[in-house]
Amino acid sequence: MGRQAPPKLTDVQDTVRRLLKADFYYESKHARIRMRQRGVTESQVRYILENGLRDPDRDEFDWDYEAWKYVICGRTPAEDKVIRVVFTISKVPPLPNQYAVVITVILV
Amino acid sequence: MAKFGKMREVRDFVDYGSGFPVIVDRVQTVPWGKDDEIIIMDHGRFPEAVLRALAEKPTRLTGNEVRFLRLHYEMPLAEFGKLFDVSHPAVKKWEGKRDVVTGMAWSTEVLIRLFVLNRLGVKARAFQQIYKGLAPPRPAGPCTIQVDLDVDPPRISYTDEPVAEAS
Repeated sequence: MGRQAPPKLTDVQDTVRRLLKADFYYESKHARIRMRQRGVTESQVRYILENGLRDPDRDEFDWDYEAWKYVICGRTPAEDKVIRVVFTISKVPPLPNQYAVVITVILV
Repeated sequence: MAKFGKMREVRDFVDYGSGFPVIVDRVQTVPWGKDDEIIIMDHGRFPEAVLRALAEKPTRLTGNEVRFLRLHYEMPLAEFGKLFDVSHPAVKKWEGKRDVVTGMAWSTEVLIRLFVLNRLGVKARAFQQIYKGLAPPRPAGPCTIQVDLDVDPPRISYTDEPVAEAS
């Protein structure tokens, strides 16, 4: 029998906004490199996470990360660029809290 | 819960998220997934340290650095240009230089640096000192910002050593 992914969070958008407000926000090394390559800054990523639209059809469970990858898409205010932000919401041991962790950014 | 490795300290971590390399003296990283890691960095203090470092940078600003400033303040090209009495194609041209100096007039660059200091709320005396330090014009040349976020306020320094590009 194949492995079964754990259930997705149901309130992703509210949760990510709450985490950003509390500054419980990190990025992966991969995400920071892609941001550089694609000309996307941290302020743009945060703006999209706060103001973008959820795209639950693109969510997927990643067995390498063993985490749900959630997607929020949006248009940046200063450059009119459409960006898809892929992130997860997880604890990061040994830290005590839950964090929004950006995995990658994609220009659409 | 996701699969994580053991947290470790990395010295002289080169961060590219601002659009140009910034060396962070110490960060913690947590290995994650196959070959990725989460960077445990103070995202509240990091951009402020970079802004302050750009305002006082000993060499001329590059295109990517100007773009970082504009996007940090969430301004379209035209709005940013209007602040410094230049057209939006001029700002686009500066930013198009990417990792090379913009070629803008030094007087305009001084205005941009003072704008940043003002937005950072730098106190009058420090503002005056930095202003005096902005003459004569800064040279062009390689210069990477280095920040230490473990002290308050963050310690800023600069290096002209080449930094490896992100891969």
